[in-house]
Amino acid sequence: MSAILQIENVTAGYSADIDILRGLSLNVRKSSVTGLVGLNGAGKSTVMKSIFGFLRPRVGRILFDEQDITHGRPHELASKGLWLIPQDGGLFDYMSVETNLRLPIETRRAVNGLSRAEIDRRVADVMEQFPILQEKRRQLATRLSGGQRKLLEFGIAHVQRPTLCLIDEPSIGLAPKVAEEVFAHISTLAKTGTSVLLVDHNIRKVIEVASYVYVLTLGTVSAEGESSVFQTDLHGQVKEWLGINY
Amino acid sequence: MLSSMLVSGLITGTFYALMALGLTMIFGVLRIVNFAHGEFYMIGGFAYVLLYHNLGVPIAVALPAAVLAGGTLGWIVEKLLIRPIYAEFGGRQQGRDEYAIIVTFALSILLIAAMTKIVGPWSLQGPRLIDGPPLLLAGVRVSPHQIAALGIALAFLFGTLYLLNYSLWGRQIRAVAQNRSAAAVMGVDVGKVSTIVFATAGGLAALAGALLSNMISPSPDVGAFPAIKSYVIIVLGGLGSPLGALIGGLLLGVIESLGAIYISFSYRDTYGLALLVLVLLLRPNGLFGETRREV
Amino acid sequence: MMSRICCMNKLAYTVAITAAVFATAYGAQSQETFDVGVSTILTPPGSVIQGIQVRQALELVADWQNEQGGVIGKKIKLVIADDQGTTEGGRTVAERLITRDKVSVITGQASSNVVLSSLEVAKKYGIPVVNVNGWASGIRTAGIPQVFSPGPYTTRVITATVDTLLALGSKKVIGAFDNTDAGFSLEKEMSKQLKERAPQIQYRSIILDRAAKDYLPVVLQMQAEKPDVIVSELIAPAGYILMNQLYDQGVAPTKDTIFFEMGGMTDNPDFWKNIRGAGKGALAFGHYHPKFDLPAIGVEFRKRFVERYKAEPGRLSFQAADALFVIIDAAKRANSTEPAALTEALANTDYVGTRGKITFDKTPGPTFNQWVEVPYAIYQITAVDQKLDDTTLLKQSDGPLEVKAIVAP
Repeated sequence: MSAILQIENVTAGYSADIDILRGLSLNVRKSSVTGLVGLNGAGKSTVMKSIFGFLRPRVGRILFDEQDITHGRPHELASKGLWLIPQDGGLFDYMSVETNLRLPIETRRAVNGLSRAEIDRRVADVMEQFPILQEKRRQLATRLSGGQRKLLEFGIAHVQRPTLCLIDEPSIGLAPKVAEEVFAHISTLAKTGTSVLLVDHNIRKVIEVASYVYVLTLGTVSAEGESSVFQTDLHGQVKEWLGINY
Repeated sequence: MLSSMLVSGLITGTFYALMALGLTMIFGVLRIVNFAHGEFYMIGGFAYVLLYHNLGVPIAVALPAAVLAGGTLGWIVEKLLIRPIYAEFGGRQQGRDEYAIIVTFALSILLIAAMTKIVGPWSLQGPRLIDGPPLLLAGVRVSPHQIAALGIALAFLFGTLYLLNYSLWGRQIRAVAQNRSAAAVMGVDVGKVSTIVFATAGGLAALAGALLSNMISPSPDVGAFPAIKSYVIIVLGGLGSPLGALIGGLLLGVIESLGAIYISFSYRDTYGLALLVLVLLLRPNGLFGETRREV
Repeated sequence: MMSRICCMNKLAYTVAITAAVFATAYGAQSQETFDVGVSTILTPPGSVIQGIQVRQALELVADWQNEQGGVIGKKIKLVIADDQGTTEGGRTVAERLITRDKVSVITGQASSNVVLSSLEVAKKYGIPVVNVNGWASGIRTAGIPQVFSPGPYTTRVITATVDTLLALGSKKVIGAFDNTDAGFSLEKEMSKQLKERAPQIQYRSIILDRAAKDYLPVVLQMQAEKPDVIVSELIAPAGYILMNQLYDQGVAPTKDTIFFEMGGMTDNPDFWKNIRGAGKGALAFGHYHPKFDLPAIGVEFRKRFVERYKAEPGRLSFQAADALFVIIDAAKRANSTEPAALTEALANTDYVGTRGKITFDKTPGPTFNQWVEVPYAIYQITAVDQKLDDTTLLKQSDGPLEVKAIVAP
C-alpha cells in the first residue's frame, strides 16, 4: 500500500542539546488510519509538531505525497491538503461556532479557489452531520462543553476535506461515551478518503480504528505492525512493545 | 459646565483610543507590551510638522506621509526586533517577556535620543488641517481643525474596528490573537499578520501624533504621556480587546475631564488609575477582557 | 560550561579596557584647569530648552575667558552633567561632580528643585554653588553660606507682579502655577502679598501638573469666572499648551482679560514655533530686554552670542553668563580656585556683570546671598513672530509701569 506521508530518519528537539525524536522513521498509508502509541514523553506530540512545521527537524526529511515538506512553514501546509486537530484545542474561543467552521476554509479559498457555493455546501453538510453545531451555531466557542468543542474541531476538519489529518490525543479529558463518538468520526474521516495519523493514550481504541500501528519509545520506533495481527493478544504485545513487565 | 466637560473629555478620549487601539492589537497578537508606542506617536507628530514647515509639503500629503512613517517604522521594528520572539513556534519561549520589555524600552530611548540629535530638544507646533472661526459645542469652542482631526480619528478608529470584525483579514488577525497555532494550521501566515499589526499600530499612533500636533507640539519626549495613558486604557478595557480600547479611551478622557473640575486638577492623572483599580477589583480581566484558559 | 568561561573572559576584558580608559582620562586631568561643575537640564522631565540656553551661555563665557588666558593661569573646564530638572537628579549630579569630578564650584542649575536638592550636598562638602535660575525662597531661607544667587527670586518676581496688578487696577485675578518647588514657592508668596498689599483684588490660584498636555477643563473654568488678569508661571512646554488653549477658547488675551506670563518663557528660542495668535497682546515678565541699558560686558556678551549661535540671547543666557562671570571674578580676587577661598570671595562680590552691578545680600531670610537688585522687565508682545527688540517695554526693574502703552489685542 502506498504512503501519503513518509518520515525518514528524523531527529528533532526543542533545545540544542536534547533530542526528543531520534532517527524516527514511519509511513502513513493512504485512506486509512495509522496509529501511534507510546508512553508519556515518548515524543508523540513532537512528531505532530515536526510534521506540521512547528518544529524543524535537525536531521532527516518528511515527504508528503512525495513532496519534501521538511522545512515547510505551518501556514503553507494547509493549502497542500494537511490538517491538524491539536491536543490543546484548535478553536477560536471568542468567535461563534459558525465562524469557527467558516474562517479556515475562507482563509484557504484564496489559495484553493473554492467557490462560495461549495463552502456553503460543505458547512451545511457538517451542520447536518453534527446537529449540536447547528443548534449552537451562534454561540461563542468558549461556551461549548469539552465534548462539543472536540466535535466542532472534527467538523472543521470535515469542511477542509484534507488529504491527511493529524489527530493528537482526541479523547483526552472526554467522557467515555463522547470518546466513542469521537473515534467513530475518525473512522468516518478515513472512509471518506482522508488519511489519518492518530495519537492517543487509549491504546485499545487506537488499535481498533487503525489499520497499522507504530510504537514510539524514547523518540524512536520500537515496534510496528498491522493492527489485525495483535488484536488478539493486545496485553502481551503492549507489554513487549513498551518494554514493561507487570 | 458638565456638558462642556463631557465634550472636552470625549474629544481627548478619542485620541487616547486611537493610541490604545494599536497597543492592544499588538498585545493581542504578540502578547507583548510595546514600550516604544509613544515614540510612534512622536515620529508621526514630527513627520507631519517637519514635512510641512521644513519641506513645504502640503498638509494633504504631510498627514498621510506621517501615517506612512509610523507604519513603516512599525514594519521595520517588527521585522528586526520583535521577530526573534516567535521566529520558531514551540521554540524558545524562555525570557520572552523580558526580551520584549528590554528591546522595546531600549528602542524608546534610542528614538528619543535620535530625534533630539536630529531636530534638537525644541517643541514644534503643527499646522492646522483647516482654518476658520471656531464653533461653539456645548460651551466649548471647537476649531474647524479640531473637528477635522476628530473626524479623521473617528474614521480610523471605527474603520479599524470594522475591518477587524467584518473583513476576512480582520478575522484572521483576531484568529491569530485567539489561537496562534490554530491560525497557522488554517493557513494564516502569523508572521505576516504580526508585521501588519505592528505597522498598523505604528500608523495609528503616528496619526494621533500628527492630528494632535497643533494642540500638543511634538518634542522628542512628547510620547511619554500618550503611551502612559494607553497602558492604563488597555488594561482598563481588557488586554487585547479592540472594543475595550475604544470604550476605555473615551471613559478615561471623560473621567479625567470631570475629575479635573469636580475634584482637583492637580490629581488629574490619578483618576484614570483609581478607575483602573476599581475596574480590576470588579472585573480582573478589564471591561472587555477575555477570560483566557490556562494552557 | 565552555561558553560560560568564554563569556567570563570577555567580561574581564571589557572591565579591564574600561578601567584603562578611565584611568587614562583621569590621569590626563592636570591641575592646570579650573574645573567648574555644570548641573543643568539636558533631558526631560525638566524644561530642556532652559538647560540648552544655560549651557550655550556658559560655554561661550568659558571659551571667551580661556581666549584671554583663563583664570589665574588656569583654563576653565566645564564639567557638564544632566540633572533632568528633578530633585533626585540634582542631588546625584551634585554628589558626582564633587566626589568624582572634583570640581571647585557648581553652577548651571535651571530649576529650583535641583538647587534645593543640592543645598545639603554643597554644605556637606563646602563647595560653593552659584544658582542660575532657582527662584524658590527656600534656597535663600536655608541660609547656606556656600550658595549664591545672582538670578531671579520669588519675592522680587511676586513684588513686581503685584505692583503690576495694582497699576493695572485689576479686580479679579487667577494665578496658575506648576507643581514644582518654584511653583509652590511663587504661589505661596503671591497669595501672601495679595492679601497684605491688595486685599481688594479677588484672587484664586490653581496648581497644574507640568507634565499634563491638556488644560481644557481648567481653561473652561477660567472662562466661566471672567477674570481681568490671568497670571501664569508655567514654563515650556506646559506653558505653551495653556497659552494656546486659553487663546483657542477666547479666554485670554482679550480686551477683557490680560494674560500675564510670569515664568519667563516668552524669549525661549522655540516660543514662536509653538505659540501663534496666543502670543499677541500677552504681557511678559523677563530678566532681560534688549532696551536695557547694558554695561560694556553685557553688550559684548550679546554681540558674541549672536555671532556664535546666530540667535538673540534670552534672559536665561544673561543669567547663566553672570553666574560664571561672578565665579571668575571671585577666583581672580581670591587668587585661588580652592572651594573655601572661592566661597569667601563670592560673599564679597562687587562686580559689574552683563546687566548691572552684582552684590550679595547678607541679611538672613528670602534674600540671603541674593543679588537683591537683579533687573527685570515687563513688556508686551504686540504681534505674532515679534522679536524681543520690538516688544513694548512697559517697566524696567523698579521703574513705573507704562499702563498707557498697553494695547488690547
